[in-house]
Amino acid sequence: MSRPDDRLGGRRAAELGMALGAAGFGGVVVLGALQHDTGWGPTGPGAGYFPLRIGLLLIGVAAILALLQLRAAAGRFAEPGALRRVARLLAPTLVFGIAIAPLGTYVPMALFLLWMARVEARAGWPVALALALGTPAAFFLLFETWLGVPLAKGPLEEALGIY
Amino acid sequence: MEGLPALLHGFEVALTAYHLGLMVAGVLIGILVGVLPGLGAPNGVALLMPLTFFMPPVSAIILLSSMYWGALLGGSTTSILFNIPGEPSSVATTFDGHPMAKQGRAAEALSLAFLCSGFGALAGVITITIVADDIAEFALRFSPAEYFAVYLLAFCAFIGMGGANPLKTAVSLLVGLSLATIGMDTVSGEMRLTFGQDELVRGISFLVAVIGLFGIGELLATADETEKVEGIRARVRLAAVLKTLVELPRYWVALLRSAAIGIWMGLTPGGPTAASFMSYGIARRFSKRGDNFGRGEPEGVVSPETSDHAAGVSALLPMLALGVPGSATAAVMLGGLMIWGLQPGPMLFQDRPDFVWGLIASMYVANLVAVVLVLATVPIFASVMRAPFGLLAPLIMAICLTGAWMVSGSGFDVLLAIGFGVLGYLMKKLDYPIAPMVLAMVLGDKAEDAFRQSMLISQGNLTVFWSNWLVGSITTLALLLLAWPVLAWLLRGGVQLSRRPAA
Repeated sequence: MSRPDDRLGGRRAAELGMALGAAGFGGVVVLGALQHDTGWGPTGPGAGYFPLRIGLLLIGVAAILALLQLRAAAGRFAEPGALRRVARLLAPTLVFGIAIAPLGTYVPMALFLLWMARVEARAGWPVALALALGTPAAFFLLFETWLGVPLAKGPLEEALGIY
Repeated sequence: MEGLPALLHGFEVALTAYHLGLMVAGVLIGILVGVLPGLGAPNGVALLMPLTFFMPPVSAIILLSSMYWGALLGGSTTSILFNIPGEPSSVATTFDGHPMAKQGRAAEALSLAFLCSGFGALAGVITITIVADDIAEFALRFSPAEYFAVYLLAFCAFIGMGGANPLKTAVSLLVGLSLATIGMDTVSGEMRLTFGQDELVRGISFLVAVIGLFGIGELLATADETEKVEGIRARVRLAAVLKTLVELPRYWVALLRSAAIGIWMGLTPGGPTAASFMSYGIARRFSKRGDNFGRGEPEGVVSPETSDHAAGVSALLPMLALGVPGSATAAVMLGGLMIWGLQPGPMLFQDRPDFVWGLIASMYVANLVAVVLVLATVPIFASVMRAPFGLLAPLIMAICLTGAWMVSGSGFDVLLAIGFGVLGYLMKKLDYPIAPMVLAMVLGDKAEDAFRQSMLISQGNLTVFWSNWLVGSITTLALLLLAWPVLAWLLRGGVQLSRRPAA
């Protein structure tokens, strides 16, 4: 018996998924705890004692939440188009995040800001360039020069001799 | 009373040019953070934290707490002018603050909000000054069992009194507690829940989690909403402030009641959000002008604002004296304290009086500085809100990712923060509260240690948590709070059943 709103994007499906996800995480915690002493060790309760019980509790509470969802009213998780807007912010962010370790902070940041300003926000070139070049420059002055906190560096910074 | 000389010494610590400068900087960053979407007080404190590692702890806590006061005020600004709460705790301010602004009384609403915030904060600090030593002395009698009972009380208070679905609050707490166990076990040195991954040996930093959950998650949630930002322009003139100041005593009942609610909710771990809602609800019920609430009634601004700040300020006392934070922001600061090498708890009052009283004295000064600065700078900060979200969001995102990287210079942390961002977005959409998870991540290790030590002392006998009247009453109170949702449901059901035959 499936209702029309129960497809992907339905509130009930999302609630159920979240509860099952929490229960699954509880399962991982229990599995991890079982690799350790879950009872009484030489220094009192063993390393697995606390996580095992937390994990079991989590599975229990999440299971109740999931069961309650079977009786809940159907509804929308997000308005139409909302998930796409979220994805269009999240996907470039993820690329930016992955690029930080190999390429450093500054180059990916400039490209990320340029992409977001030009493609997503449809800003003009002057605004987009000001944002994309000004922000990393401001970050450099603030963190590296003024506060002395080094940010991630990549091949470009190395080639320019900036450390 | 030993408080006064200690406080005077605190003022000597707080009133240096360096610390005054930090207060001004902290308040200004805080207002900005409170105004911008995706940068709330907990996230702002987490982002600034890596920069404080090289400062003396007193200076660090003065900077971070000043930022907290600024963020609370910035949150109220956007609530009133834009109907967008910058902080969860200023949601209740939108109910009457924004209608007032739409009626052309924006300046009045803003000055009222800021002055009441100042009053609430002052009431909170004065209370802290008076009771700090007593609470610390009281906490000196705590053994591990009492500590575990207090942590349990904090967790159960969130479930029973937090206002969100108790089951979802419990899930949030338990996930936080699980995350806290990842990494090296402090007692046995065993690697827990790392599944052979080197990245997880250090554990999951709560700073990374806070940046993801509150910062990136909030940005994703804002991208989800389509609402156009339509603000009301306002400039606060000195004359309007003075006029409001003169009229303020008219609301003395609301002021005192809301301050009391706020202080209580801050000292017990209810937090500013619960305090402001409770205060608004009670004011609407008991005020003579209760019918006007929701349509631009000044008392509807006075009540939540006073409570919000009274709670925010007093939430720092249990953090210092017991190591139990009363709000999400206080939880982040508590984590900071431990990173700076300070051990929160009653001994802090004996070992580091300069730190404790320097902070308390700075709270008097910084809140005054904050109210003056926010009144002077409202138009500037309000104009930040008019920048298009499409440009603001990537900029704030860049700040969040850089902040996550700075925590320990690891690319893994950046990805972890994005993961927490997705989780925070889902939690927000599905009404899972986020604060309990952060609280549990910060307190998890301490709670577990306290539990294991108590078990060791009692040789595994759980009755240690009822072994004397102190620990027994805290544990019982905690369990009562935990059972409160069920009890309330039963009571309501009982009342309905007994009414039915009569009808």
